[in-house]
Amino acid sequence: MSKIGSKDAHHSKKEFTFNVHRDMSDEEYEEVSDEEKLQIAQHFLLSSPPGQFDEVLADVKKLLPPSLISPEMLTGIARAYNTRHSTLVTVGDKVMPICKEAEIDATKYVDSVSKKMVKVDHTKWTGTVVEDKPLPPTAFDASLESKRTAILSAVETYVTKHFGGGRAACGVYSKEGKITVVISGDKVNLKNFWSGAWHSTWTLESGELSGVAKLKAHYFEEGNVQLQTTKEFPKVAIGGGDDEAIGKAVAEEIFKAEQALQMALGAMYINMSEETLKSMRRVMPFTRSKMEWNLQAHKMVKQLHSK
Amino acid sequence: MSGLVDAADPIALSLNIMRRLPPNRIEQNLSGLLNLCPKMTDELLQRVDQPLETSTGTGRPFILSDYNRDGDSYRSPWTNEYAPQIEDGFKPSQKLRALEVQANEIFDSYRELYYEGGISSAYLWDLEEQEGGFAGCFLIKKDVTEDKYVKKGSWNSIHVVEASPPSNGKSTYKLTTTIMVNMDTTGRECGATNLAGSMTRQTEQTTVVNDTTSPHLTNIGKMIEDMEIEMRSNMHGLYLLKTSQVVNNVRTAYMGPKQGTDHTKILSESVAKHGAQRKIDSES
Repeated sequence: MSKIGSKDAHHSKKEFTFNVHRDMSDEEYEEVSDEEKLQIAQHFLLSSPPGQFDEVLADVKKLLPPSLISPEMLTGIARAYNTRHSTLVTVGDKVMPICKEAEIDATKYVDSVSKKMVKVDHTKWTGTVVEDKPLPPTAFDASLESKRTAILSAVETYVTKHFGGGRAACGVYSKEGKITVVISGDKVNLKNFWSGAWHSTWTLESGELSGVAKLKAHYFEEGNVQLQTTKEFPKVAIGGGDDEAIGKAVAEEIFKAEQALQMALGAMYINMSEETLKSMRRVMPFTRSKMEWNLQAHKMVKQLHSK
Repeated sequence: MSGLVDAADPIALSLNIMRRLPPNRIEQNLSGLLNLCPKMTDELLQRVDQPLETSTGTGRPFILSDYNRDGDSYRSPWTNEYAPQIEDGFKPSQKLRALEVQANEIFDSYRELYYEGGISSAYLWDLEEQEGGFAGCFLIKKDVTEDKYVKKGSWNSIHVVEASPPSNGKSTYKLTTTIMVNMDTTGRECGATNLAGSMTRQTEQTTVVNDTTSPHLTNIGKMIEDMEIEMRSNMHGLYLLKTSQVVNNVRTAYMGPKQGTDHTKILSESVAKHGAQRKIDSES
C-alpha cells in the first residue's frame, strides 16, 4: 500500500501550476483577530471525534498564539463538548455520563447511582465524590424516586448487556415530573486508528417515552472516514403497573429502539457496495468488463448509451 | 508509515487535525486552518484536497480546479476558453491541447461507464523541466440527490498524473489519487446518517508507449481505472465497513451463548463478497 502524507508528486505538480498561473507577490493574507482564532479553535475542539479532544487540542494549541486559550476557556469548551456528547468521566473505578440533567453547577454533577455530588474536571475527564456535602434537596423529584431507581436498575442491566465492548454507563434523573435516562458508551483505540461512541437520551413524561440516539465512528489509518448518525425515536406509551414493571418496560423500549437502529445500520453496511456506494460509483460498468481505452472503442460505447 | 505526523511544523499539525475532523466538512475545516495560519495557505492548499466545484455558466459544465485556473477565471476543457474571459490566459501548447481534447473525450466515456452521471474534466500541462514529458489531472465530480439509497451525496475523484518523456519506448507514469465521498443516506430506520471519507494513494508504473496500441492516454486511463477500482473497493471494504465494526465494538447487538455469531456471520459474508469482487476486479 502506498504512503499517504507525502504527496510529493502531487505537491510538486500543484506548485508548478501555482507558480505559472499565479503571481504570488500579489497575494496578501489577512490575519484574523484573536477572537476569531478562538472561535475556530473552539469549533475544531467541539468537532473532535470520540476520545480525541486532547489530540486535537495538542495540535490546535501549537497553531495559536501562546496562551491564547486560557484554562478557563478550555474548561468551558470541554464542558460544552462533554455535555453535548454525554462524555463519560471516571469517578473512582466507575464512569458516569456528563449531561445537563446531572448538572448542579459548572463543575458539580449528580451521580444518579450513588446519589452523591461529584466534582468534575472537564478537561481531565475525571471526577471526585464530594463526601462532606449532601446533594441539594432539589437534585431529584422525591415523588418519582421509587420509579427512578426502578428504571435505573433496569436500564443498568440493559447497558451491562449491550455496551460491554468498551466503557459505558447510564444515569437516570428526575425533575418536575419528568424522568430522563442518559446512556453513554465509547471505545477508543487510537493505536489502531479508530474510536467510536454511542449515546442516547430518553425522556419519560406523562407515561410516554421518547428519545434520541447519536453515534459516531472514526477510522483514520491512511485516510479519514467517519460515520455520524442521529436517530430520533417518537413517543411510545409505557404501560401501567408498579414501578418495577415500568422500569422494565422503559428498558425494554430503549432496547428495542436502539437494537432496531443498530440492525438498520448493519443492513445498510451489508448492502452498501451494491446500494449506497453504487449510487455514487459502480463497482464495474454495466457491461461487466473494464473500459476499452482507445478512442474507437469508446465512441462505440457512447453510441450504445445514447440509444 | 501509518501514524500521524508528530511535529511542530504547522503543515504537519494541520494535516493531523484534518485527519481527525469530520470529512464531511473538509472545506470549512480547511478554511479554519487557513485563518489560523494564513502564511501556510499555499502549501496547505497544495497538500489538502477539497471536494470539487463545477462551473456555473451557460456552456457545458466543467470542473474548477487550480489546474485550469488563471486569476479568477477558469478554462473550460471543452472550449479551451476562460470564463470569465481574460486576455492571455495560460493555455497548453497546441500539441498538448490536441491530446487534452482526446483525454476529455475518452475520460468522459469512462465517467459514463462507471458513474452514469456526474461531470468529468481533464487538464494537461507540459513539464518544463522534462522536455517531452507532461502532467495532467483527471477529475470526476458526481452529486446525487434524492436517490433510492442516498438522500444527498457527492463523489470526488482527483487523479494527478505525471508522464515522463519516453525513453527506449517506455514512459514512467506517477499517479496520485484522492477520493472523497460524502453521503447522507436514505432510510428512516437509520435516522440521519452521514458517511464520509477521504483517502489518497499513489502508484507508479513504467509502460511501453507508442502511437498505435499503447498511447499515453490508454496507459494513463488503465492506471486510473485500476486505481479507482482498488480505491472504491478499499473505501467500502477497509474504511466504511471498519466504521461498522467500530459501532459494534461500542454496542453489542447480539447476546446469549452464541454471542456475536450472527453478526460475525453477516460480516464474514460481506467480507467474502468483497473478496470475490476484488478477484473479479484484478483478473483482467
